[in-house]
Amino acid sequence: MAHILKTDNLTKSFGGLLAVNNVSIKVDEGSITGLIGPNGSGKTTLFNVISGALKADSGKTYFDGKRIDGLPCHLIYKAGLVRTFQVPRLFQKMTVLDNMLIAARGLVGERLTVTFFQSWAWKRQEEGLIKKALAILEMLDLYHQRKNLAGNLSGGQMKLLEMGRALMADPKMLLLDEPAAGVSPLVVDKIFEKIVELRQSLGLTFFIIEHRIETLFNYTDRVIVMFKGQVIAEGKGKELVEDPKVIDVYLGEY
Amino acid sequence: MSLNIAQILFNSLLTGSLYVLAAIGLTLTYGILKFPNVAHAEFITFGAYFAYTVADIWKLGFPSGAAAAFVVTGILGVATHLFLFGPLIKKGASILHLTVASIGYGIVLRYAMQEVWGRKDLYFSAYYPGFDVGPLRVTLLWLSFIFLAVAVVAIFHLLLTETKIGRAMRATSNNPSLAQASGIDTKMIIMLVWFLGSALAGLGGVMKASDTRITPVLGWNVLIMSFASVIFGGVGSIYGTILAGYILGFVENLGVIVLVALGLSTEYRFLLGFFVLVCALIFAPQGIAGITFRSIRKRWRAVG
Amino acid sequence: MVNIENFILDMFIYVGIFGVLSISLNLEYGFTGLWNFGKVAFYMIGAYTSAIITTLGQPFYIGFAAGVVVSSLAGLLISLPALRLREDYLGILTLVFGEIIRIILKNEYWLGGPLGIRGIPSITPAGLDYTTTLLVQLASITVIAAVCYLVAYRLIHSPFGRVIRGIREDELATASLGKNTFRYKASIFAISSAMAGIAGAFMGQYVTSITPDQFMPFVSFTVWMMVMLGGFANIEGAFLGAFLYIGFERAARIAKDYLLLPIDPNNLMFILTGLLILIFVFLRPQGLLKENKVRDYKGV
Ligand SMILES: Nc1ncnc2c1ncn2[C@@H]1O[C@H](COP(=O)(O)OP(=O)(O)OP(=O)(O)O)[C@@H](O)[C@H]1O
Ligand SMILES: [Mg+2]
Repeated sequence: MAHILKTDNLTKSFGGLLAVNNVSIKVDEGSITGLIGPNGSGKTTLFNVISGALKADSGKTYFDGKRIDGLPCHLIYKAGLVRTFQVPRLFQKMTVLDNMLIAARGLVGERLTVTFFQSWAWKRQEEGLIKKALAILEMLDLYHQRKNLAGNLSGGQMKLLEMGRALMADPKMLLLDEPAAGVSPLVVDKIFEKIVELRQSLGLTFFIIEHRIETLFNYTDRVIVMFKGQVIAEGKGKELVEDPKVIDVYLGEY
Repeated sequence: MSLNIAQILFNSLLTGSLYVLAAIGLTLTYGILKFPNVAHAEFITFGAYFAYTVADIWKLGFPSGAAAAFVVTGILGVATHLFLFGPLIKKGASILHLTVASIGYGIVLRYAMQEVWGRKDLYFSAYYPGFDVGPLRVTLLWLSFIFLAVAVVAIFHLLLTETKIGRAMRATSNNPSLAQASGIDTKMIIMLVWFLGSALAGLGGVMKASDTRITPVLGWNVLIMSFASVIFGGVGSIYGTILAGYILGFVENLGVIVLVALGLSTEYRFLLGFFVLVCALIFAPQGIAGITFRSIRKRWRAVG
Repeated sequence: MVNIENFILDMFIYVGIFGVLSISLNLEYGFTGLWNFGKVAFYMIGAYTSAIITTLGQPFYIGFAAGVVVSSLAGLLISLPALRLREDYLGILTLVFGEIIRIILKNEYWLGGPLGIRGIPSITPAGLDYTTTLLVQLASITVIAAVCYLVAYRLIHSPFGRVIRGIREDELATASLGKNTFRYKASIFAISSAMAGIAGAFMGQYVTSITPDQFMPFVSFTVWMMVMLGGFANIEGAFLGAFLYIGFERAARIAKDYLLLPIDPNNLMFILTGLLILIFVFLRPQGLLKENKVRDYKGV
């Protein structure tokens, strides 16, 4: 299988702290890949660097065959790589539906000439997008909230909306930062089942940070383990449980 | 035209001292409370007017006027925090609303002062004749102000490095929430900061006015350069602000000479402050402390 | 004793001028989250550009167009470095920018110097009586304000308007959703500055003489006051705020002729304005009207 995402020796430090240290990983196209590691091991920072939210100190990132390191966030989105945030960054004073629509790709209404002189054009385009957004919201059990302000959602619902927003963007690949944090255990499984389903129906690639080892092993093809900024192991779920380095980290931690 | 380098340096020291006095309070409140206090300009003006009242209306002499301005402006600063910004922060006001409040408050202060002291320019009666020291033309007043500002800098340095309160102050202005978490009584420190910062601003006002005149816009005219010093020096950094204040003093004095040589109005020295402010904002938003060649190049690329 | 009719007409002309300024600030701060404490700079640039061109003998529409273009270019120019800044730094920078423009105009004699520009040709034909003149002026500013309102209306009730709200709420999230946030902010800055420019151009020909000291930072602050009164991110509120504030100011101006005050009424007016700002910050920081929605999504 081809690699859709590849990093070469990515490094990012904050002051003296090496948050991401020489990380080289590959993610297979169409896979669900997990990323795990104790608190502060640099997982979120790795996502931030890949998605362009932070600039890497050094190293390269390839997505879909093109180099994307150094590109601003919006161009990385355009390339088809869309991310969610660990702490939801919703537009709190906008409705749930607006939060979804803003993420859509290729909106004609974002051009000023269309805004001023051809409002029919974006209105027509938006009819279709609203249908799509409502379908996603329905899938995420958020349909009834569509006209409420995003700021009034519960923590779990916010995480779901973040994922919905990312799906709205027609990505090739999604970076999900703890998509099921703060969600009830029952819903956790539902979310991951949805992820598996989406991978099948749309051929999306998922790269997911998750703390629950069990969940990860049940739903992912491959897991990457980070510790203190470095990748210390990777492989299939069951093999990893026997890896002494992984056991070390997790026994040391808990 | 022959350049008297020594005089330029001396004048820079004088101008820089003014900016340092005016900016220290601004940088501290900005660093700790995160909003630019636009009303700070009026503290500067207030100091000048109050000193005038004590010195020339009550006829207690210029030194007592300056001392009284120091104390009373300090108290005004504390009262400002107690009755305005403190309650607003408690209510969870955003940084924007705090800034807007400082604008409204500044307007109230300025016109209240105009009501009390009138709109006409006022002059201190104390007169200090100039005399020559080598190539320098100086006055006793200038010398004492430079001395005062340098003393303030030295005292601040000792306070910050040698005392518990000073270290707490530095910790608070660097990272207020961390300081609070580590057991520092940040409330008390914030009061102290308001007192000292406003008192020094008042003293700065006295200094500026004693050399020129007192007008309702006295503080406003110093504010631009104060903000430039604060941002150039790094918001919240006392040492950075002091250094930046003196650098700006130098730039301004050198700039005036260039302006005169070019036949332009010397009022354009504000443009120099603006220019430094813009450069500081764009190339070194962390202030002097954060400047490295790499950071400048990176910023330049980000802008271009 | 002033003629009450003319007094009211004049008041509404100013409501129109400041309504336009408030819409323009609302687009910047209310919808996009950009701190602009130097609105007066673009108002001033529009006024001066148009005044200079029309006193040179060009017709008013050329003057207005030039005022719009030059202010909008100035907006774009300052936005290039400024929009990468932290919000509070942008506020300081714009505030200082206004002062710089004023100082330059005050010191350049070929631009009028401290006495400014006098004898700006009015858009109303000579020979009309005063009330008719005011009516024509009011009709003109109404047209200008309506156009600005319409521009703002289209902007905020569109996907574009959704993106700028997103920038206000969370710029990184907006960028991560594929929006070139810089382009949006620069567009808003240019459009808003154009609006401020036409307000200034209109004001110049209405009062027929302008001086640098008419453009103190206080003008920017009154616009903030109006936006806060009417409500952030509400374009109807922009006019409401302008109406309330100017009404308050005019009422105070009349009252001072009848009341014997122990305090200079001019100072009192400013002090009351400052207090009004503080009262609003304390009691109703979001303003009177609620934010405009992007869309109603009827039937969804
Ligand atoms: N913006 C930042 N500035 C300074 N330090 C940071 C920043 N972001 C992260 N760090 C530090 O980098 C290290 C890695 O953080 P990161 O958030 O990437 O960890 P993580 O693996 O996502 O942890 P968690 O499981 O808690 O989410 C931590 O020590 C963190 O404190
Ligand atoms: Mg994390």
